[in-house]
Amino acid sequence: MDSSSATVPAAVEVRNLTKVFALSLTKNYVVAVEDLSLTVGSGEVYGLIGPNGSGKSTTMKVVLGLMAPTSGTTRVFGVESNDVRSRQQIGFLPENPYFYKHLTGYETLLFYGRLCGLRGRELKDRAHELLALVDLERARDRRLAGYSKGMLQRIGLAQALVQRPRLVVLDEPTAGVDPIGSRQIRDLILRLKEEGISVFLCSHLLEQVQEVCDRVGIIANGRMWREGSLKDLIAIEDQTEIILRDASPELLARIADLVKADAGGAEWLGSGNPRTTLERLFLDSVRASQADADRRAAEAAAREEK
Amino acid sequence: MPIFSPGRIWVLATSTLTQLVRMKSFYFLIVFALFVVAASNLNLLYTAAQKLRVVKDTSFGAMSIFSWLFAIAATAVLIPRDLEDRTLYTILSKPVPRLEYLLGKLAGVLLTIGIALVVMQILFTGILFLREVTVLAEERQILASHPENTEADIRTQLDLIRAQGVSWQLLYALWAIFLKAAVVAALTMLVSTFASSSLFTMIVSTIIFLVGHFHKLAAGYWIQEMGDSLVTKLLVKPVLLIIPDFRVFNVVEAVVSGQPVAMSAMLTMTGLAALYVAVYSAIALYLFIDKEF
Amino acid sequence: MKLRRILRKTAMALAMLVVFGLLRSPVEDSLTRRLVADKLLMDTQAANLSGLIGQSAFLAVLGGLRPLVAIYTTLHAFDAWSYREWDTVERDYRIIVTLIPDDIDSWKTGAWHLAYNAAASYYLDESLPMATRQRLTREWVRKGVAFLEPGLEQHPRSSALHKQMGDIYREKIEDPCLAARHYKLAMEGDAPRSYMRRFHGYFLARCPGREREAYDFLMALYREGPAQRLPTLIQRVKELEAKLEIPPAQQIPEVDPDIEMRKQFPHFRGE
Ligand SMILES: Nc1ncnc2c1ncn2[C@@H]1O[C@H](COP(=O)(O)OP(=O)(O)O)[C@@H](O)[C@H]1O
Ligand SMILES: [Mg+2]
Repeated sequence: MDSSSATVPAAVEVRNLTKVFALSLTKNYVVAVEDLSLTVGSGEVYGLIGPNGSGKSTTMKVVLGLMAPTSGTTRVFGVESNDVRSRQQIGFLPENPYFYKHLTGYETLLFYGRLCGLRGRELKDRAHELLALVDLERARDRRLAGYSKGMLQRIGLAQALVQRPRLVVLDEPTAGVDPIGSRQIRDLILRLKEEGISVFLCSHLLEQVQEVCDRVGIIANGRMWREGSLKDLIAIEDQTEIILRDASPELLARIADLVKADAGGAEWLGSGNPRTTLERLFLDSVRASQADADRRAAEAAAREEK
Repeated sequence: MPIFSPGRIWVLATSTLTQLVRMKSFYFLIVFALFVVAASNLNLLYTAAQKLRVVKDTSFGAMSIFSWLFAIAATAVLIPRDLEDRTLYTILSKPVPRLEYLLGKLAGVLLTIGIALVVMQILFTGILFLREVTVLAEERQILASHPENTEADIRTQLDLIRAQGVSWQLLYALWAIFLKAAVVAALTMLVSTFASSSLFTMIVSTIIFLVGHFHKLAAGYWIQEMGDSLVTKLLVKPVLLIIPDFRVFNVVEAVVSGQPVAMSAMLTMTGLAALYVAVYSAIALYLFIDKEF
Repeated sequence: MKLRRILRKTAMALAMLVVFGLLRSPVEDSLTRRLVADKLLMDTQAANLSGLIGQSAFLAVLGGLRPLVAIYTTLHAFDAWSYREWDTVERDYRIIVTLIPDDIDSWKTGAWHLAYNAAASYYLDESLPMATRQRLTREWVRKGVAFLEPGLEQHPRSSALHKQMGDIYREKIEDPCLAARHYKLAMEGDAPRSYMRRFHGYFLARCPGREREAYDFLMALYREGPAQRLPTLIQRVKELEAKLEIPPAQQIPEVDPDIEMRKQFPHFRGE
């Protein structure tokens, strides 16, 4: 942590978070998050990526104070998550959100605005502004029971922004949304970033994270595997990628020979069809975490046998 | 940001009211109106006073059944539904303390019951008034047709009938019904903070509600028969203390039949109901405060 | 670890409920006792209601639906009445007055069913031998009286109930002394009607040994003015004058009662 973040508190600060769920009344339990630390700087867009069940939602719920950590601490702009005041600064869009189906889009925004203490003209103006922002002006007087998945996601985003929070937490904001809706949401996130709002989002869809995030963390089996700025993570300093089109096997063989002959000690690592680099990183992390989990399970089994 | 804000509770309460209204729960008012009209045309062997009494008894009976059924059903459905739909996440991730959420939901249910009861009271008072006017006119005619009845005779007889008609005292009955519904709603909320489903909440709350009407009586018999045995000490007495006592709210029946009730008794009852709501809400909060979803 | 917390919290919540119970119980018990004493709550234990009505009706009563159970029972009694099932009528009315003892009309109707309807129905039942018919008639009149007695105990000032009892003694038992007694209580009760005073006088006049008293009472009425000078009254006074050997100077004039009546009430057509 650098010195500036000591004076300006980070938007989100998760320190050594562990969350254990008891599955039943017996000793059966699940470690959803284990010793996880991360920091979302003020004004930063941070993406937490990981496969389903890796502990992303759990982390977010602890940050929001919806769950208590088993150990570790989480803070939002320096305020502990269990303090209800920390929520004044947060807008949250849950995974697959549902709101009151009996309310219209406009009423939904009024409701959440009132919960944040907004009233009167100010609230009405804000609601209209947000409906325009998420492009739901025409659906404002329809009940949410008739909204599509993408519309719900957008009204959810509008609801999260109603009290002008300094931090927006988005749990899988584009899950189940069609490509156009997904693009709209991405554009909105970029706009928030321009306005200096910190964004903490999670996803298992990599492209979006890649497009909008300043920094990403890769989480698998509840543990943080890689974390850093996107550029740093993707760039592997000692490797160089050559991408060719219509390369014949002969050409590849010749290049391989050239590499072998190189006096600088360069090494031929492989060839094949290119993949997005983040995806590769992601898969590698997941694989490593799986191997790690298997190893630990084996160790535990061995301990038990003794 | 204030730690406790009646404004936010009001927002939650009115939104709950909107939700219940849009769930079409007020349609039963039509059924109620038809029911009261039917009861007001029940004649049988009834005397004039009894005709009015039947209207009151059936109306207040229906209001009382409605209010506790609705208190249990609505409270049992609302919180789990927020949970299942994950609406709760969006509310609690706003700066809303959990106490305010619980009180807001409870207040919303009570607001709905209160409005429904007032509407029913108005409907019923209107019907009772019309009935009173016709019954009095009929009775006056009958009495006047007998020459031996003096004007004073007729007046005393009509006053006896009027005593069963519209009166301010009926508002006491309305208030007692509301208090009982408030206690039942708070009880159901308490159950729903540890129950796993709406159905479970409804069943458990209904059982506690019903048992709360006769457990003192039953325990009286038990202790009489069995004495101060170990079972009595370890099981019967604690159950008596844990389960609420709804007996006093049955005073509605006497109020409806026109018997005068002391203001002090009404105040004690109000105090008891307020205490129940406060204590049940506090325990509900204790169970709900660190609940994870 | 989580289980421990759940158990701890549950135990704590139960403990809070018990403490609350300890605090509220005395208040609730004393309020209940007070309301029962004021007859605002039913003393379900004393009424021995569970023996009288079914289990489910009993629960409904405890659950605050006492008036509805009473209405249901009234409907049931009405049905039984139309089939002349008098035992059912009697039982139903016992239930009704146990449930709503404050309802004067139910006491009255119940007594009327037993002493008049049931009694008359047995009297007219030609399938039975005459002796049985007479015995049953007397029995059901007695039942009517027995039914009404606790009602009078609970409502000692009820004019309507004393009038009903007076009627039974007058018409069904033909005991003028007791009839006069109840008419007196009726006229001194909560909703007296002017005829109750006259009835008291009429039957006191027939009660052996109380002629003097009856004469004074009826004469007081007579002196109130023409409104009281009905044919029966004049006739009774005349009878008493004869019995008591009142000197002719103090006797009231014989009048054609019908002429007097027509002056008072233009529509009167004679008795
Ligand atoms: N309330 C809960 N009770 C028990 N286990 C849970 C609960 N919530 C999540 N889990 C478990 O914790 C792990 C992480 O879940 P989650 O945070 O939802 O993952 P993600 O959001 O990354 O898909 C999963 O194994 C899940 O089954
Ligand atoms: Mg998730």
